[in-house]
Amino acid sequence: MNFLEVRDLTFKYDRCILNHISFDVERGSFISLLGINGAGKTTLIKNLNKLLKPTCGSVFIDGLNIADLKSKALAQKMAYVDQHCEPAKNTVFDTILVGRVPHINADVVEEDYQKTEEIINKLNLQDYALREADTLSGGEFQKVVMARALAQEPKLLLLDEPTSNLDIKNQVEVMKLIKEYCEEKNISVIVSIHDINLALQFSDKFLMMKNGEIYRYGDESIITAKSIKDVYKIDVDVIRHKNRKSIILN
Amino acid sequence: MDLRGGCITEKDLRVKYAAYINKKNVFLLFLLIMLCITSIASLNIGSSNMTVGQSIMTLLGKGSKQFNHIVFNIRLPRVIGGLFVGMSMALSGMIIQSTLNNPLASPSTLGISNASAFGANIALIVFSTMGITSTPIVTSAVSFLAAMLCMILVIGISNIKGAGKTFVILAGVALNSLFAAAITVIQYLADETQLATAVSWTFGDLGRITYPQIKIVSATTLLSALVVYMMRWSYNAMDMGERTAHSIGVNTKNMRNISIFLAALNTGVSVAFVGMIGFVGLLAPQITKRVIGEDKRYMLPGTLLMGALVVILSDSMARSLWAPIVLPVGAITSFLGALLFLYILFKKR
Ligand SMILES: Nc1ncnc2c1ncn2[C@@H]1O[C@H](COP(=O)(O)OP(=O)(O)OP(=O)(O)O)[C@@H](O)[C@H]1O
Ligand SMILES: [Mg+2]
Repeated sequence: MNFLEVRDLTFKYDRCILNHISFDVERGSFISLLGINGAGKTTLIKNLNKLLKPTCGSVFIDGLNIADLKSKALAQKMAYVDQHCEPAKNTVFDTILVGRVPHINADVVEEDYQKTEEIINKLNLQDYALREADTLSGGEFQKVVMARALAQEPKLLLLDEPTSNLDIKNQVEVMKLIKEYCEEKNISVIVSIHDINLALQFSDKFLMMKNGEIYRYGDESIITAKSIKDVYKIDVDVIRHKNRKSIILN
Repeated sequence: MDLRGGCITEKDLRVKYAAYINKKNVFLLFLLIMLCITSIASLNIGSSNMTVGQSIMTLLGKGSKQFNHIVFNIRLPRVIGGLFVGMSMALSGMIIQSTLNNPLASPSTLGISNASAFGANIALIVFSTMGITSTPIVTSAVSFLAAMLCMILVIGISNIKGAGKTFVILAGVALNSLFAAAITVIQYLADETQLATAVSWTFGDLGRITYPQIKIVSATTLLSALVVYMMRWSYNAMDMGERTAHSIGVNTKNMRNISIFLAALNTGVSVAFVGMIGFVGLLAPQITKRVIGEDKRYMLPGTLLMGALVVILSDSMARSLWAPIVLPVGAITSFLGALLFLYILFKKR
């Protein structure tokens, strides 16, 4: 039994968006979801987290069917960062504290404050921990949203384009923070991302989507000029530089 | 409330957070004191010349027969009623704004206030045309029923598959204008006496409230506030948007239904007994949020106190500005509220 098992997942709006998708995720692995705009990356992530209900097929986490899990139990297993997050009128500290909600019974307790503080320190948010979240820059806020998700102590982290609004420095910084934190805590990550080079730098595995199906799923050996041509319809050269695979537009 | 800037070392983060929370508590205390002062002052406003000492003695049970009558039968119900009506409207506004994630949402944007007024107009005009004279109890009952009808419609709409927040608000605005149109038609067909009764009913008036009604309003308000307080962390999650709230383990559909239900219940009860008191539902939560943020652990008590304060203050002004003429309290809340609101909006851009 694998940590996450997706079986025959199908999802339809007016047309079929996900078509009989099956794949497994090992505990602690970092997976990049690749595919053109409209390929169904967001839809797949939302199906994994019950924001959308699959037309058919099922998802198992730790052997449990997510359809049978209560919202709170599900939130203890997986956290999700939306493609478009909005700040509430609250401080950064309070925003991250809300990530503790799946573990709260009547009210927050000392442990919740400690976890919040620990994450603030780990992600280096001390400098603006008591600022209002709506006064932060896009990059700063993105880290806060990650911190909130990590405060949930999930086993699976679902990130929908976490780096799209960030400058190149922050893109690397955010990915690095997640990679290191999740490696340490053995959290699996599924991240939809458009920057293939960034994905190559941080991921263990790649899931390439095309026409609502999995085109390829595997380690970096599946990233080839041909697979990229097939998925994105562009010509690239795949090179190896400083022992890391990269792509260059042709 | 602004603690931005400055390097915060690991050690004093919790200390600074505690100081920040403390400021919220100070603000709550400030509101409480203001509310006490305003309420006592409000007891002293009226056409008979009682001194502050006399009214306090009367309250303590040492008043003359005449003073007893004035304080206990006329002024006290007005003040207590105002307290709970204010809390009830503010609470309704807060939960609707939080679940629909929209600072402009309130029971009136969901059509509920106009539905109540529509019900009252049916009782006061349509019934009377049919030869039935509507007692205040009947008017209140019909008004409340209309609010509940509207609530059922809104909850139904909100549960349509794929209905987003904007969809619910737009549908609410449509319902609101439907009820407003219906009111206009009914009033157009009314005779002059009926029209006068209906219009004066619509202006909020705290003087109408009786002790049995106060029991109903206070029970509704306090129970609803308790429910909301128990769900304060879920509301905190809702403030980050429905999808995020869902991913933190909050049943967003339930939250919406419960919020619409409680808001309609509170608005329905208040409007049925004292008529329309505009803007409190929008204003009280917004001011509170701008001062102490929207952490519901503090915003909820803050909003309740603020709602009560706004209504009591407005009612005091309504009775003293043009004394002995009593202005409609709703006009004052809207006027004062709008000014205060603009001020805060500009100051805290
Ligand atoms: N509510 C909806 N109703 C109908 N079709 C939808 C709806 N939401 C999304 N779609 C369609 O589903 C398809 C997949 O959308 P999805 O958002 O999953 O793509 P994506 O891979 O995340 O794209 P992007 O990279 O642009 O974020 C798209 O063709 C989109 O138009
Ligand atoms: Mg997407």
